[in-house]
Amino acid sequence: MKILKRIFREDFPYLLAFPGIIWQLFFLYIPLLIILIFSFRNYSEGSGFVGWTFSHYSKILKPIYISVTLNSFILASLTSLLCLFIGYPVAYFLAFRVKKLKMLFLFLLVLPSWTNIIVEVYAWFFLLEKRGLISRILYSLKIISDPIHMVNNSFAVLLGMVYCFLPFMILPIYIILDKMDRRLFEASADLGGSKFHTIKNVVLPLSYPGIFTGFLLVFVPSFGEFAVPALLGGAKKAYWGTVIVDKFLLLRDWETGFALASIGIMFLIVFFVFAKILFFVLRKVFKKYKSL
Amino acid sequence: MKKFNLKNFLLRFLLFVFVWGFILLCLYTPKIYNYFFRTTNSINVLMFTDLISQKTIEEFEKKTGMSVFVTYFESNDELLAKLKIDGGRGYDLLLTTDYMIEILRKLNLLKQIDHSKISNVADIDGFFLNRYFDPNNDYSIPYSWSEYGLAYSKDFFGDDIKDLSWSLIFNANDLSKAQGLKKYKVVMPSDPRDILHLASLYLLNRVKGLNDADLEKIKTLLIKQKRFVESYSSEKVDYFLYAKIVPIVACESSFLKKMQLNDPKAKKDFGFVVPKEGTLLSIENFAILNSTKNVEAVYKFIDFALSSSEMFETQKRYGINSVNKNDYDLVHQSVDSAYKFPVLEQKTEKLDTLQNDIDLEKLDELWLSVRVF
Amino acid sequence: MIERRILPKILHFMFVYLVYLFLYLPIFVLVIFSFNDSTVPFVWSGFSLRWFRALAHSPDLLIALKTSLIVASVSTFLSVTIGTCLVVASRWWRPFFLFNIFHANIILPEIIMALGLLSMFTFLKIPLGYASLISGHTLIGLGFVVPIVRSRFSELDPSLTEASADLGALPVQTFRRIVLPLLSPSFIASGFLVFTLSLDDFFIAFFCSGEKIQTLSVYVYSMVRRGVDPRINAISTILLAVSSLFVLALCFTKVLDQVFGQE
Repeated sequence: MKILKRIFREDFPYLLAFPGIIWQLFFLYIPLLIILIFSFRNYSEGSGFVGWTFSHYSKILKPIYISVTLNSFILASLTSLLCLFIGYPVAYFLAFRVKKLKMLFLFLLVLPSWTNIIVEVYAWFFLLEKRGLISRILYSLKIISDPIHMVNNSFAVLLGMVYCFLPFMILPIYIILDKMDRRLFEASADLGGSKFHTIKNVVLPLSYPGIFTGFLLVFVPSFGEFAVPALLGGAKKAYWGTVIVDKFLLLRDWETGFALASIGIMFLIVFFVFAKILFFVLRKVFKKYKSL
Repeated sequence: MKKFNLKNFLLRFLLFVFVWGFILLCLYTPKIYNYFFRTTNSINVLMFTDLISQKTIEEFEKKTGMSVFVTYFESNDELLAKLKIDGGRGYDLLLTTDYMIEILRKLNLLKQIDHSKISNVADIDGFFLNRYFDPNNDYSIPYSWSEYGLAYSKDFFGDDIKDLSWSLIFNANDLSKAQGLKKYKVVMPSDPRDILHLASLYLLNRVKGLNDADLEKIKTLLIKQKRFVESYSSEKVDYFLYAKIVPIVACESSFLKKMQLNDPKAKKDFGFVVPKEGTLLSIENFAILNSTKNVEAVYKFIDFALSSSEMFETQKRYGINSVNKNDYDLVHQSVDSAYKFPVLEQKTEKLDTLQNDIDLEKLDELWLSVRVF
Repeated sequence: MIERRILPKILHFMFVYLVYLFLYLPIFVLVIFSFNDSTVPFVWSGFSLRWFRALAHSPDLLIALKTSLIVASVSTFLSVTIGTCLVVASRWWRPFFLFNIFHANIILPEIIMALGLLSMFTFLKIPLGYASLISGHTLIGLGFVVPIVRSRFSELDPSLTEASADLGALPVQTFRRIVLPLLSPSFIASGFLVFTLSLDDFFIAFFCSGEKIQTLSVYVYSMVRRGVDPRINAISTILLAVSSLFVLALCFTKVLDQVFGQE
């Protein structure tokens, strides 16, 4: 009893903090560790756990698995770049051109991303399908001779991905742009810079943190995506995410799945570090250019 | 900077462990509950969807007063993964495909079946018994069967296809030119094992003993075929046909039979054929798990599901075919002759189940290479 | 001269308008056709609520809905509670790792989290079911609750808690009477967020829920795999309506920049 009282008096902060810490450790970091450790496990059908091995990694490093990871990398890059080029103008518009209806525009922007990803995918399926709206419109405008089924190909997959992740690129950029000190623009204009010049040398470099965040929030999930390629792509192309899911649920080869997952995670970490360095360098370069 | 107090540290460490233990306890609750409180008046069944209807289950529950809990799974490998985790504890009865029975048998997960306890066994056609995966049917009882074939749209191909061959699926490009048809796409099943079996029947006229060179040939064929494959899907057959997205689908007979039994228009518009090179046969079997605690109830359930009255309804509802000799004509009169059970005297390679002789890793890589680009 | 200056602005506006159209076209079509009377999915034949009624008659769907709601509620409660406790504790004990360990929740691909959880549960022979699913959702929830509550907490005037301590209140009492009420807006905001996330989550539910329970997302996924079905339209409309209400509430509490600004 005395110990309980003492815990409540002095150790209360620990009692409060431990559940959260334990949750993170136990449900996130330890599973990651398990993925890493088990990717070296040698497990055979009949006899169970046999020993440690690198064989799963040597399997993963064959060209075929590299191509699969490359597929995901290309998809994630395309998605991120498209989101960036479409999203930056929208963020700019929201930050600088809208005064009164800002809340409404933001609400409308965020709403689609809070819907179920399966619902989003299905919505596009419904739209792009052979008997769907787009096909009908094109058919009645005589642009195509037969209704076409626009799903089950890479176009539909990319479309679906951009659709899911666009708001995640726009928001971080908007937040950075919104917080920017407007006086910087006035100063630049005062110093004789044109609008275009201001955008290139003031707005853009200052928004790099937002771009970086947006890139992170789009690239990482789209790298691991498997629902969109499976449903909109007809399961015809193998991506990193789909192969891992297959390994776990379809082909009972968990160890290879672990190895593939570990490689993917390591790749993402390296990419994250590389991107951060890249942005850092870009910023330095722009600063130097500006000072000339 | 506070002095490092060992007593404090140990106390907090204990607190840490205690909180962790509490969380673990919450996670293990269902297991503990099951271990102590499992009712004996229930059975747990693991099976694919569309094999035993909810109605049958409810009838059984009403008749015997026992509860039946069904868990569905999407693929056989999912089933195997689940069973391996816990040795099958928590489940009593399985309903799964032929080749899985051999795998499960070798893992010692199955219980020997006492045939005397099931009255309907005598009526099961010999064609479905004593196969490689369970030589004396000690561990499994067949329940239903279906075969792969081509479901096609009569609109596109005409009422009768002249040359019944798998080339309609595997060689659609060249074929459509030769026969003056419009270019068309196809739909293939999603399980690479099934695809491999059909491809090797078409290309090599055999399915056993495939070596590396054979697999290479099959891989080339599948990669070439991919250009006109709309999708690899085993579930949306009726969708693809009704929506006229593709005019021909390689699928199990049960899909089309279900369509035709339940929609008279489907009989006119679509047909089902088994190509001349042969096809893949699939037999679903009951198997009892070693970990079962309620064997008598399981026998009663198997008996009930296999009875003629239930099979009649099941066949009509799902399009699967019964293994019971007496059930054949009841339903088959109303549909295409393709569904009449095949030449049953010989067990030929032309109509055979999946074997377990493919190296999974090679299959894996083959399937991956087909889908990489 | 004037045209040259206005033209880019007009183009800019049109571009943004097109983007919003792109974002909403599928949703509009989906919702409109959920009220379609005909059984043939794409041909409009009148307004009808039949698909909504059909939903009410699908027992599997109702069970999945109940499961999703239970999981979402419990996960929200757990993540808000645990997250808030942690943030409050940081007032007295703040090791360097306390907040950094939560960044990973948002950075990692969900598929990795889901697979990791599945592997760990399998390895430790923890049964997959409500408990495993709720733990996963709470984990995601924590990744959002902690930054949100923390930023609100750091805006609180520390002199209030110091004053209360000076007046002789134990940490417990300070917590209950001073800190908790001041933090409540952030509870509500992050609670809405986590609830919506949990309802919409697919990856964790797909891997970690086991076979005996099925959430709404997994149910819709298995329906979508079978092709086009107007009932999916109907349930999507309902989900969209619920999400909109939550997002509307969220927008008014201005938490979005707190989440995205924390990177």
